[in-house]
Amino acid sequence: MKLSTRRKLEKYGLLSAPLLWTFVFLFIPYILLFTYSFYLKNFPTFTPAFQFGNYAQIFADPQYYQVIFRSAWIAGSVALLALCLAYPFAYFLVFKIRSSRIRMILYMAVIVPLWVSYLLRAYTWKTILGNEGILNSFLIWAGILSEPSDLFLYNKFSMILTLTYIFIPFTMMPIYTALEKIPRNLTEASKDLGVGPFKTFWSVTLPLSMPGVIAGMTFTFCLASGDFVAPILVGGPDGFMIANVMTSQFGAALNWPLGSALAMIMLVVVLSIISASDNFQRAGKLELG
Amino acid sequence: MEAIIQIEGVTKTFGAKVVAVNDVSLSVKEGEFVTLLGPSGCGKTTILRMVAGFESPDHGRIILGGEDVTDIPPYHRPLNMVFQDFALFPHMTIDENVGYGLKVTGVPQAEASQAVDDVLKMVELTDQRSRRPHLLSGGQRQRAALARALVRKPKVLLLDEPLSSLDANLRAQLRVELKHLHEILGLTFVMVTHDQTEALVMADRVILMQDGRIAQDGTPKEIYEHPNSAYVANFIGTTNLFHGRISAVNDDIVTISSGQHEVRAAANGLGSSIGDDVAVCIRPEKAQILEPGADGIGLNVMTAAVDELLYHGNTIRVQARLASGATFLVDVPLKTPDTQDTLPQKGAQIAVGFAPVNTATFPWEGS
Repeated sequence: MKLSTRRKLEKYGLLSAPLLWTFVFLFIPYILLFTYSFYLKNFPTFTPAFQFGNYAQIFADPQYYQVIFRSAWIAGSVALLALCLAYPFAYFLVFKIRSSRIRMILYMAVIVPLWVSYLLRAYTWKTILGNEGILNSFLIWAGILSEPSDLFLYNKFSMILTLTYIFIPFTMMPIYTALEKIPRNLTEASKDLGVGPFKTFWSVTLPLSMPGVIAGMTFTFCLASGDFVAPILVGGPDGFMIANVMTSQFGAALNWPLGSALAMIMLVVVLSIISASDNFQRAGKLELG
Repeated sequence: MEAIIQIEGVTKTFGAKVVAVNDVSLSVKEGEFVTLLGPSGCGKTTILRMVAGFESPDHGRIILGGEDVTDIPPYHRPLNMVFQDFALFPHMTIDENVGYGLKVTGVPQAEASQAVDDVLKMVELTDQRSRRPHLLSGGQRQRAALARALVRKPKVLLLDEPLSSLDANLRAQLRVELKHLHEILGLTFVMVTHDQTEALVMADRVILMQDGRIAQDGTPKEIYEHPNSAYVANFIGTTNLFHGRISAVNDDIVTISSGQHEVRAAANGLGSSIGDDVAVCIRPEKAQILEPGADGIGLNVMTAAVDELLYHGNTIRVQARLASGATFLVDVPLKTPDTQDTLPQKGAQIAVGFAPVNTATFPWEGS
């Protein structure tokens, strides 16, 4: 056998298992979902068809398109809030902490919560923000409130707070990596050229860390927009998101075609965001050093 | 001429134990080209970074043009630096890189672009100005970094190993270009390098560093011809060393007993007296192989056995072993293609000689 043929066989042999997995558990389900999205609902089942009624319904019925907007609004706010918290922290870790040990410990402090059950982390906020939760007890103890407030839980605020807490590691990690990759002598060169620290950050550090910012925000936005546990635990009616609507279409409402159409729309939205951010990153991709 | 940089008793420690710079004082005159030379870890880069303002000294003062800048941040110091890896901003074109400092610090547009045009013309990069740094060759990047540092018309230009990331031929060419630039601009250049050739060829003055201290400060010629210690003699070029005690002093010639060899050497105005522990350095190119039967009047003559012949193209280095067992190197210039054929073969017994005036003598400080 020729060496090049053997190499090719080895390559495909190695790839066959993951390819098979992807095909069976990702590709086929997507095709099924795509097919279902054109079916007709015929309670309690559905009949094969090719029509756009389900999509039309989503765009016509405010109940559906509003929940899409709300999901995007919440996910966008989460991505923004996570950025505002993660960027300064990552910057502080990379540029201000001299000991690499302490830097690693603080970095891990952000990452470690990922090892805790996601459900548990969301639930924690219920116990903090709830009517008899830690926050209310504290405020009453401190004399700021006279009776427990239910303003903290079951609204957009509690949603954004919880989702930010859950997904902030995904914002922090790429920003940290991007900042760490910036050669230190670039900021020194800027200062050497007479530019103070603030303007140096604005015209050197920030532009060079943009790939990390975009990647972090994209991760967080996509993860948050598809979340359905936080809305159930801390969201209330005001925090109902697209994933919850889909769950009910596939569950109680028994309307798989509509659920599939919703899923397809979300898939397109998320894929366009990812590809846009990818393009944006590639356009800004720089050869460092 | 006036001192433009004055470093007074500067010490810098990193962490608890590493003393990078240990009580160093030096001054640089206006218009001088000074190199800080030494192996890695000798403190030369730390000194440069303290002058630039990226590190602050634990003790001592740094004075720039009469002003104490010890506590002044780098962006307010009237000097610029060419960084080791050039540190060009990858997200800006060459034009933007060079104009960056002017633009951000609010120099009027017309004035800034005129300055950028001029400096790019000077380094011959006008045709590359709209490209990003990663598209440029190493030499072009080096010139871009130089342009960026010169565009603000600094009083002092600092160069941190400016040629170390270039290949050998380009390095040799840019040495000359930098030297010319220094002559044309009349600026003060302070360059850090670990490359002795670079230091000797380019600088007016070489400051050789050892373990955070200045080992010797002098012109390239002084440093090469009259090293003041074994460290300097060994760092710059190659040398043969004889270590011993002075047995006789006769005007400007001292006689040293080094084991079984008697060496007559230049006294170097050391004010040495009998019994002093000294070392004598003789460069391989200043020694010679004596023809059989030659008397070698006035020379130190020693017999040796040829161990190795090392061909260098323009010279051949004869590595010989003296009776004491020490190695002695002689460089024989290959002036004609046949010179090599007349040389002694490996294993042959030869007589080597060197004149006392060609030696340098300095106190022996152990090891």
